Amino acid sequence: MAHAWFETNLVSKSLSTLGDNHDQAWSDGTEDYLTALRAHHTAMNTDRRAIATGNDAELHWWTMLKSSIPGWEANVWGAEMSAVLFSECIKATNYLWAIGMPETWMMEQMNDRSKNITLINDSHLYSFEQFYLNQGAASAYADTQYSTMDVQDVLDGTNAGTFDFVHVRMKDLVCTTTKFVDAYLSMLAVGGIMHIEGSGTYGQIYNNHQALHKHWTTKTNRHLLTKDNLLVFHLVTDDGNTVIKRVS
Amino acid sequence: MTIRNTPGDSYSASADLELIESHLAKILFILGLDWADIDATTIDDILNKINENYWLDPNGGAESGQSYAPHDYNKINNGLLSTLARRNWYWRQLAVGVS
Repeated sequence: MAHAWFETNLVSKSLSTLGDNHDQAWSDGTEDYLTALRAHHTAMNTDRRAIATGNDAELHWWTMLKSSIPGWEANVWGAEMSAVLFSECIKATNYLWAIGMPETWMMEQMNDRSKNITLINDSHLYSFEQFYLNQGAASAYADTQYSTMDVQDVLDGTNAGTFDFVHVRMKDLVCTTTKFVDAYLSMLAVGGIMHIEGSGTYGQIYNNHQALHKHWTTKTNRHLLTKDNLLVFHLVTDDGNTVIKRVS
Repeated sequence: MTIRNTPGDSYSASADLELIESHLAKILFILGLDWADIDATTIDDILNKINENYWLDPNGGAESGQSYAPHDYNKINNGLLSTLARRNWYWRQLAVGVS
């Protein structure tokens, strides 16, 4: 039986339309991307024992789709639709994305010469470049351009204060200190928006109010509230979304 | 500054690996392990050390729906460190694999 989250995302997908240029109804190209990515992970022969991966959805993300059921793509629908929503609302032109997703909406942005797209250097970027850009859906775009920044550049403050839309995932912010939160927030221009995907840690912090006080992401979420120049909106969706606006 | 503008070929495994290994080294340091021994260290060693330092009391008040501050402290740190260790361990395998 599918998780309730899966079901709610199916409803979200059924009741939304993102227009011709926002085709997030994943296609054969996305299936081919997943097939290639899973083959790559298999070839890497990574340690997938329970002790090595635990029950962390972040580490099971792609293998969850190994035996995909009809409508599986809805599993990521809500989160990615939110990213489209926020960037459309603010008419962003200078994006910093911590994840390269195999979707034509992202390709549209990368081929729009009025926009600058920067991706973060991580395993998602490798997958995006090696297994999606060569798919027909992506290669059909003739003028794909984007830049890449290392996370160390973000920590060093390169391009600080210049991005009007920053899309990160909670996994990019959580560490033993708050340095990643501070660094990514420093990337925002005045008036810019940050969208943090999965800030509810796949719903874990919504189990009950007491759970919030003992969860290992609470410190990171609460740190967002310590800045005088930010408006912070935590939206309780299935996986959690936080939207932040830098006001000064 | 290492911003790259080469679509399709901009991933840097070395830069990715450097960051991941700095994370792992910090976690090992917190736990009293040594990065110099990383080649002989397993994820099992790291997780065992986390459980040793931040023991999860199976009777930590769960039966009453309540818990005490020491239990919460251990739970938070155990969850944070084990998640970070597992993720960075996994990402390190991916980065090393394409280096």
